[in-house]
Amino acid sequence: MPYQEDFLLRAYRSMRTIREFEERCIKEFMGGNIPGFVHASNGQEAIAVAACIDLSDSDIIGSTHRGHGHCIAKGCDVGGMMKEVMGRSTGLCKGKGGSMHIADIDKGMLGANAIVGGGPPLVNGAALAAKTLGTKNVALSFNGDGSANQGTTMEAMNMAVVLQLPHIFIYENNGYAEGTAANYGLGCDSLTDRNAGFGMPAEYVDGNDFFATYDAIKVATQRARDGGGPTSIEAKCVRFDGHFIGDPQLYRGEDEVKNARKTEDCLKIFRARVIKEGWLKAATMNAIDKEIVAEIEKAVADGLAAPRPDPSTDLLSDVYSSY
Amino acid sequence: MTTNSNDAKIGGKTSIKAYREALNDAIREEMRRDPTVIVLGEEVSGGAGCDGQDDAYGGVFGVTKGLMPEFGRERVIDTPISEAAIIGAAAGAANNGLRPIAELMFFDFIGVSFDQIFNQAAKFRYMFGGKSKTPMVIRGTVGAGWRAGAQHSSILHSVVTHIPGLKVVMPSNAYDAKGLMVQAIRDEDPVIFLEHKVMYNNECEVPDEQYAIPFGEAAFPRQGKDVTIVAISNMVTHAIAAADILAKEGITCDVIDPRTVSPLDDEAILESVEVTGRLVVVDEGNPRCGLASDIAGIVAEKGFFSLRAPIRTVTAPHTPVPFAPELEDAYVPNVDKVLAAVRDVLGA
Amino acid sequence: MTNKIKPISMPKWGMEMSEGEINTWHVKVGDQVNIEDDLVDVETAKIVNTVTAADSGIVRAILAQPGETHNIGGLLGVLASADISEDDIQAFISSYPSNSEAVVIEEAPIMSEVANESVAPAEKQLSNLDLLAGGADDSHVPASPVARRLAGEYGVNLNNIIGTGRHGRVSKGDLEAAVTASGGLLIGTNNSIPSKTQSGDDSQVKATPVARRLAEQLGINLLECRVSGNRGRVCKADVEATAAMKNRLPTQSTVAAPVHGSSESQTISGMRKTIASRLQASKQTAPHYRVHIDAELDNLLATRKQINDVNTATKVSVNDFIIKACASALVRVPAVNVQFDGEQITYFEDADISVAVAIKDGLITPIIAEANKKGLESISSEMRDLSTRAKLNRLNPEEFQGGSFCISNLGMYGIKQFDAIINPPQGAILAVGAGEQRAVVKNGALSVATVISLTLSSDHRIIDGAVAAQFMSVLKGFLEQPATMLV
Repeated sequence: MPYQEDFLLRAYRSMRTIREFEERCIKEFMGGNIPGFVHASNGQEAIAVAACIDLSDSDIIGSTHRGHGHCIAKGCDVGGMMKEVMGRSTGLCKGKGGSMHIADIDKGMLGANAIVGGGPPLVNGAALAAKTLGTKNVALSFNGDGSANQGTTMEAMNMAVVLQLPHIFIYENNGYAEGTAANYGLGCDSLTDRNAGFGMPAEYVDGNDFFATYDAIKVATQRARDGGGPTSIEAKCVRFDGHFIGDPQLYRGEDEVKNARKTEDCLKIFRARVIKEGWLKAATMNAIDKEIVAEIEKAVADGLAAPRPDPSTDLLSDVYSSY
Repeated sequence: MTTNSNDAKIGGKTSIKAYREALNDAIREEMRRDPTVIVLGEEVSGGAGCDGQDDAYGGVFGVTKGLMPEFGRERVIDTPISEAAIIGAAAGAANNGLRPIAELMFFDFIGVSFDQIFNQAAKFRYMFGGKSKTPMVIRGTVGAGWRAGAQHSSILHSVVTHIPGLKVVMPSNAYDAKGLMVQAIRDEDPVIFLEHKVMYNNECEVPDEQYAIPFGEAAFPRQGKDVTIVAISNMVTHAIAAADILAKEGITCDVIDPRTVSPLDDEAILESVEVTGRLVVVDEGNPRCGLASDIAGIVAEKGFFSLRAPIRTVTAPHTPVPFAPELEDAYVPNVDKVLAAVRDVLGA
Repeated sequence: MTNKIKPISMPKWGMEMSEGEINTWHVKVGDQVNIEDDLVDVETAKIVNTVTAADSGIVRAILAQPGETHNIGGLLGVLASADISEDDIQAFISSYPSNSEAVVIEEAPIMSEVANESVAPAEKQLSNLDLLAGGADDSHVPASPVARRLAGEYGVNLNNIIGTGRHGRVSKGDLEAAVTASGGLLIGTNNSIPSKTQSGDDSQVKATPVARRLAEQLGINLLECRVSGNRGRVCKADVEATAAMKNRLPTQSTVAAPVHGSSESQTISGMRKTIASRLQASKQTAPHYRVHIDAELDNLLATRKQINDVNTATKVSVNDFIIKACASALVRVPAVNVQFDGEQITYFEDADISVAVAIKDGLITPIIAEANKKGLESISSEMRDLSTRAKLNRLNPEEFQGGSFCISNLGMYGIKQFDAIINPPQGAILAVGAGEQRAVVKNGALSVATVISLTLSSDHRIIDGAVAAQFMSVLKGFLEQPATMLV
């Protein structure tokens, strides 16, 4: 079989963890346990996992405001993430970043970025460091379809080509830039074609198909590691929730999400494929499901019990290394 | 101008060097010692992809001349005209093991790259709970006096001083420039290093060896007890000139050059005002929400009972920088304006 | 609330633990804790676990910092009620028997920073700095803000520093000169790579353990390195930068995916070290001898199918049967169900079976306790749970420390037969191969059966040959006729 069983189990576990984490975040947000803004990525799990599953902690990813999935796929601690999202002092960022700035440098996760288009220039920097230091690490940026039209993104793409940086640009095209159709904001017909115009190889894949996405990203990653420069990969996907949790989503068609959950659920598609091919058994995946539900449940319980930051010590700390 | 703004002793062998050369020395020596230091920006070397000379510019003001021939294009990187990408690359690289020195050819270009500076680099350490550090330097050329027009003559230090997470450094002479650049490169936080365009040729004695001047320590180019004059960057020149004129009249001025605006050596200013009771702040920035108001506010709040006269600030007007020579000359604070302000607080 | 002062001390989890490294505190000074509240996470060679409060009270002192290693019994903190005076607390601390020296400061993630970013002063290494410490209130001594802040970090009184600035103002340079002159080390100020080669004694230079090891490996003196790690220490990136300067860096400074034709070396992890030393000791101390027997599994396989056809929820595996059979055999032949520490033999009534599980970079042996009393279903689900948690590094110490007998199964890799090394202080270990179809002779005729090879390694100091042989014979009986286990 073309994929190792261990690989498939890890992929499934990672995607399922993201799904459970996000859907639980939605519940907890509605219950008033999560302050601020949360942007859930349920529906887009396959891309995150396909991109990160082969990466090591020294490879770097940059993310968007919809960054929980990328964080989990990269190996960040789920308990620490939940605490961070809940603003607790034992969260990944000591409660000072929150959902939109969730990060773990030790795991090569450069941070969720609340500025659309804020990530690509930074990921270029990580790629530049890898190239300059000769580490053979790669850097990968996750970008929404909306950020493709931001000047900083385009500048970063051009510079990545000019300096031949090991940067893989992943575009998660979920069809919506906030409440506006992706196609509306894109002047040309195809983002992939436009990206090719910058001078890098550009591919379009079905982001609901874990395997197609993984295969394409694998080629791009190897190209980067071998010194072949940047690649753009546009993956079509669906987000099951709103732009932010609580978004009434008036801009979406009736029953659109309901139908998408039936026919365009990347997890369902993955399960169907591996069972049909005889690669994994349903029972195995069900057992994993149960474990993950328990794990996230514990993360939520731990998060709710975790200490809150103390203004007298935590407010003024960590601005500078020294001042 | 051959003085340095410091009463510190200059040890070891020294030579007369221009401000731009002192910076060049500092950067080159740090690049020799530390392979993680890189330089990136537009025309930092110049001639990339062209048929003419390599290292055609070495920076449009010559600050990075000679670095590319010594260290190669892997460490001295000419970039496309993409300020956001330049600053972003520097910030991302700083978080991943390099110590980049990124250049904004004119600090006015901070506009197109501002998100990467104030939203990304400045905030990483705080947002990520202290786990990341961003040891980068952003060099920018500032200031009026060259008839360069409104979009190439801003000074904007007040804007970046306001932002927590950034350090802001403005050396007023070659000696300070070298020491502060060394410190900036070695510092673990993002440093905005502002070089005034009219000062690049100013010379003074600069030690040959590498030395670091700590941030947050002011220099005292003239000392006295009648009035405190705080000045920054090129304004230090005018403050010194005014002090020398006044000395002939028997008025001694305590001239303070903070050298670094963030962190600020406010104690030095407060200690001085305790003695003199009178304060004049000279700043080329615009008056609203500027450095001059900031310093005046600090002294009004913490040194109120030392004051014997209201504080006077000498700043540019609330306008963009004009082009015509007469207008630009009227825009920038000069010796006469400083003298007028001093006489005002002295009640003379 | 208790009226007495209670220590928070490093516990001993398991027989081999001698020290632990502090990871994260869950409480801070002033917090009220109740019995069994989480206090602090501690990491040992094997796992991370949490010290819980043995008493209730208020946390009056925290003495062990994240990253520090303390011996078992070492004083980590103090709990007491609010009415106990500070002096009494201090007296308690000073008189506490000290086997709690902080040994090594590991590279800890940046934890609870003090509000203004101060770097921990290097108290232990500064000898005469105390001379600069005493004196009257120095808040009026003219000093630059940075010098004032650093003086606080060094614990130096500004009255004792000669200031060369105007009005005798103390600058950072003046402070550093004084600190250096009195034999102290400067805090994290050398942020450049020294240009001259240094050859002095670098043992006092603060560095992360990773940096120190790398420096030794590469032949770099720490005095030649930039100091940019947390808490004023030389970090790995600083050593690598200096090494690159001297062209001593390997071309790939991180361990990337293996590339054709090259090799890489890494220092072994804590777990690997533990495995290495224990197994070496076992092999060298216990005289191993082996007894081998084959068993036919056809009856067992049929029984298994019977069970699984009915019990569709939990599938029982051959390995679960083997665990059960061993447990039953150990009850019949208790002389194999022993531990030996070199002097005393401990006999066990029940069979606590350790089962070897491969995990990332090593192995661990979770225990099915009292396996003789458990049905196959319990054994099966317990095994699954322990195995999963073992791979996630989430076992409690009592779940893998102890056990009276061990089973190691390499059958899934197709291994026919192998010999295992005893896990001390156990007396024996069973190595299980793959069940495979083999030609067998029954009543003079050739036939085919599913056969499995079992090899028992025993410690001849305490288990004699005949005893081992008897055990194997009983085990074979249970495996070939599983119904006899019901008797």
